[in-house]
Amino acid sequence: MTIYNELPVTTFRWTKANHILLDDLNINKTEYNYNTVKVGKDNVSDIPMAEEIKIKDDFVGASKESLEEVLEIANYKKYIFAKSGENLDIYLDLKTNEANPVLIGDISIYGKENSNIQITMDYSGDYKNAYTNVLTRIKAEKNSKINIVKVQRQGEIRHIEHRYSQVEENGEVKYLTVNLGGEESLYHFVTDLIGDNSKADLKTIYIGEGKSLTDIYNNIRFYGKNANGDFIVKGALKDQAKKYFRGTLDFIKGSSQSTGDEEEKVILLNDKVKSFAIPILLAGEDDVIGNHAASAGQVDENILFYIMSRGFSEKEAKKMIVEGSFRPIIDEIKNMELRDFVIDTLDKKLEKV
Amino acid sequence: MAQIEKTQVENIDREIYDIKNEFTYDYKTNAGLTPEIIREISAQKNEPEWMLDFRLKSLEIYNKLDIPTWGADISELDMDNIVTYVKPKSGLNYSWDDVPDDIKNTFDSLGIVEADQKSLAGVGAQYDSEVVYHSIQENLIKKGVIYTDFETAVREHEDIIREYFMKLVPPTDHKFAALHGAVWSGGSFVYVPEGVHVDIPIQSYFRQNAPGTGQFEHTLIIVEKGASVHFIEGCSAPKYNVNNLHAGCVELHVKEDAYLRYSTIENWSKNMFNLNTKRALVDKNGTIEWVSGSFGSKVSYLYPMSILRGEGSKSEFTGITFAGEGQNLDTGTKVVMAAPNTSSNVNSKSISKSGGIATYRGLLKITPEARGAKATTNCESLMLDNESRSDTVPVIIIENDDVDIGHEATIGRISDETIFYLMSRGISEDEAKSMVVRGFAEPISKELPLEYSVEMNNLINLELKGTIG
Repeated sequence: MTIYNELPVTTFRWTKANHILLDDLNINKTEYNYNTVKVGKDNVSDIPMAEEIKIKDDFVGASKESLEEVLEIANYKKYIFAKSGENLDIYLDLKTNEANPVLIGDISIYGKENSNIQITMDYSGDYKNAYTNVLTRIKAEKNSKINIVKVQRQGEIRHIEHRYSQVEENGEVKYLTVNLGGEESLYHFVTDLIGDNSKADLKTIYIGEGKSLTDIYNNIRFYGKNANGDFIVKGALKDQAKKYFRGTLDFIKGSSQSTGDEEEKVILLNDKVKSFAIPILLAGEDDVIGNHAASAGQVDENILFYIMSRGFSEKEAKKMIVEGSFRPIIDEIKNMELRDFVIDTLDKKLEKV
Repeated sequence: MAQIEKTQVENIDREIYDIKNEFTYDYKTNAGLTPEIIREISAQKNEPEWMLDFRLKSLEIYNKLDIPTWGADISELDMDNIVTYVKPKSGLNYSWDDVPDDIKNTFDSLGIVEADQKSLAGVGAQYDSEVVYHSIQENLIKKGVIYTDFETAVREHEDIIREYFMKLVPPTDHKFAALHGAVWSGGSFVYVPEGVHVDIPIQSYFRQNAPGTGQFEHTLIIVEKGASVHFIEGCSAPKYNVNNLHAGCVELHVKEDAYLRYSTIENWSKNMFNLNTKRALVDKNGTIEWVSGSFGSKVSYLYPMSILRGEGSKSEFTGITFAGEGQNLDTGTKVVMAAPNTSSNVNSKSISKSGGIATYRGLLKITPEARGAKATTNCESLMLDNESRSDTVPVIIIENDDVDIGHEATIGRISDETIFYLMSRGISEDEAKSMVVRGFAEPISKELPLEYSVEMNNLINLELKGTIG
């Protein structure tokens, strides 16, 4: 058993909310030779960059062991580098299949000043015995923008992503994460807003079904002045699915004039679901505005009644409400094919609600 | 150093204190907490055998458990010398001169008279409340209400105590609950019979001044079916003593259709580690209301807990924490909803300044049985400078789908616009800020009985004086 996603500050032990314990998998490291780069071949390199992205010592990843696994035996290493003022558009098709069942990846994304990087990461493949463990390192220099859209639509496997980001002055990172698959999906995101006026905008949607586990650890740390960090997590839980939301906004002393909002909403669709939410706010600086809001419940009865009065069945109405709550986030996926796929998949998954 | 006159406990009207056996721990031990010490305490108290056994078992548990790994740092607590905390340092010889200046000044500012200042130094002087206390007593006795100190309760109401004592907070709960089980001393027992409504709040204020109590006091309140009572626990003035560990325990049983409001103003001296455990068990359609103000102590771990066992039961929590220089106050509330159609409201506020640390630590757990649960939580933290810290660590666990849960929290400082607006109306900056802080605390202070809310406002003013910025 290994501890995953330990909270940045722990609390009552008996709640079993401080971390999650998972069985150790017996992973045989194999080759990963799948051709992943669908768009932006010229900008994705196998050769390490001159400017390595240093991960802060206090970044522990989803678990010490799984992070070490990446650092020691990664079978997939990619470097994405945008020169000053450059605009990149990249699409990575990160599929696992029988020939490439294990993906242990180390991906670096570096945006120099005034650059703009758009990346879509599509994790797919329904091979049963697959495994994914990826570290994404991100650095956004002054005035640069990095925009990541990630869709996880793998089969019933363990999927881990550690993501560490540093954002300099006026830089901006945007992450859109859509989690539709995986038996165990573990996210461990730490975003350091180092420069003044730096920005982070994180949005996550997930749907949990069967006996799946979704564990989302999201920590934004404010160092610079007038930094802004927001994240929204929206999800629906069916069957006996379990979800942990661990959101932290950490205002370090000196991050004056910074603002941060975290919002978590979960729609519960079955009486056997389990939902944990630990929305943490930490402040060592007084000149900040930090808010968090978490809510949980069934679909709004008034809206349900209204839609049904228009001739829809209860099932259809429920589906429309859940989709309606996700839709503004899904609409930010620029790739039409992927967006349609997400909409169709949600449609199918909500069919039996 | 002036020796102040001794007042013997024997001189006090017994009916007030109802103390039959005065005892003091006037033996010395070198270190650690041993079974011999426990036996001695028990013998001094004339306790039944089962209580002694309970204490000894608790001591065993205490020695096995570790100190909590989360929360404020309590490594300064010298657990090996815990016995010195149990032993009041012959309070009768304690001199007002030995009381630290900040506490003396607080007392002067609060307008507490000299006679009461003397009581601070451990003399069992009386407050003006005596008369009130008498009339409450008369009135209560007629209705069949029991209100007595805990030692008396163990002897005179043995069956009830044996049935309820540390059932809600078992010694296995955590290390300091085990410590409490081993060395508890003093406290109150309140029993309100079926259908009886006690109109005037019962206050434990008087009992806080008896030597040797107040460090490990045990409070047990049983409110029978359809009855109601408001209990106020006040260590309403900072009580200076050399003991620096407080590990009290409060157990509240709210039966069907019963109502209990439990109010506390904690203002321990700034050298105190306050590790208090409070828990309420609420039956069908019963209500527990917690009102809590934490101002004092060096470190606090304080999370009143409601267990909503009965269908339709309710928990309300209204609390404020004020952490100043050198203080680390880790407070909040725990609510377990374990029956259909229960509801919980939490309204928590904290203020931190001059390097003080305020943490809201909460838990809301909704079990599979608790269908139809409704819960709202609202936490607001106000920081008055960037030397201080303010953290919010809530846990929300939901195990069924028929719930309606909302949780909101904010952290920040007084907005410049507000101050600017008030100053443009001719109010000084300091006054503007303290107006905002008082307004911030008002939802809490209005829930307190008048004398406490006056006192709380005075405390806030004192704390703010000249330090706000």
